[in-house]
Amino acid sequence: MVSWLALLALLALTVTLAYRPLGAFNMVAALAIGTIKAAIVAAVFMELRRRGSQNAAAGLFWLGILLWLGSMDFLTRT
Amino acid sequence: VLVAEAPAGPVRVVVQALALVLARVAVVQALVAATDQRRQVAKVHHRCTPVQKSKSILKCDRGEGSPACAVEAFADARGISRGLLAGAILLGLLFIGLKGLEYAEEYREHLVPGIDFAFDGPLADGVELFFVFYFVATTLHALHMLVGIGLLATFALLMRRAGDSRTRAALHSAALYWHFVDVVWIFLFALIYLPGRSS
Repeated sequence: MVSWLALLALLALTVTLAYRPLGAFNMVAALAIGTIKAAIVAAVFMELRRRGSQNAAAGLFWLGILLWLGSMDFLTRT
Repeated sequence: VLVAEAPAGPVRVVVQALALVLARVAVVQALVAATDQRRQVAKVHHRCTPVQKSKSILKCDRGEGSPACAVEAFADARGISRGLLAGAILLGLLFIGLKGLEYAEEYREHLVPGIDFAFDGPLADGVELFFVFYFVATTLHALHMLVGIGLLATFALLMRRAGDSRTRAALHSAALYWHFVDVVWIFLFALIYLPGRSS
């Protein structure tokens, strides 16, 4: 329940921040808050806090490589 | 390049934020549904005598459902679980419905690359690239949500009968899948709906 409220609060924060003109920091803040939210979901809702997370980390590593290569076009095209 | 043109309009961002919140509620509901029965089962097993427990294991192995001492508690927990699953399914469908409204709006605004795309100005290429990313990512996410909704519906139906431990374990896995699809949306929301709001 606490983690659910924390997720709602973070959502409110990230939407509020998106409307403030902060330049490049807008994107940094949005992704940082997104990472915190994802960590809460993974730890609490996906129950990773109660078990070893090596497997999850390995999966995330390979998923990261796939997404990184998959987003090449978007990251490099001018 | 990606930040060139966020889908605009304060109404839409509010609707989308609302959809996110509702999807989160659905996730919580699914989790509660998944854990509630496990707790009930643990409680029931605590109350059972060793003989009843061994019988329940035998019966579960044969797929005949729960032991006599557990029938009532199971019925309660199953009712709650099924209600929560129904809530999660409805919220998931609401999310899909909002997505459909959004797609219709983008089609009317000629923003669908490959089908009907018209955008003038120096940023046209960046905007098209953005919408390719937008449609691929959100469509993939929506398809995974439909799979998740189907899974939850299957378990809601299966739970009309007394669940055995295999059903519970499978529902647990389905809940993990649902949360993973949710994590994907957290990042899509930050990448697609938040940039470009402040200008």
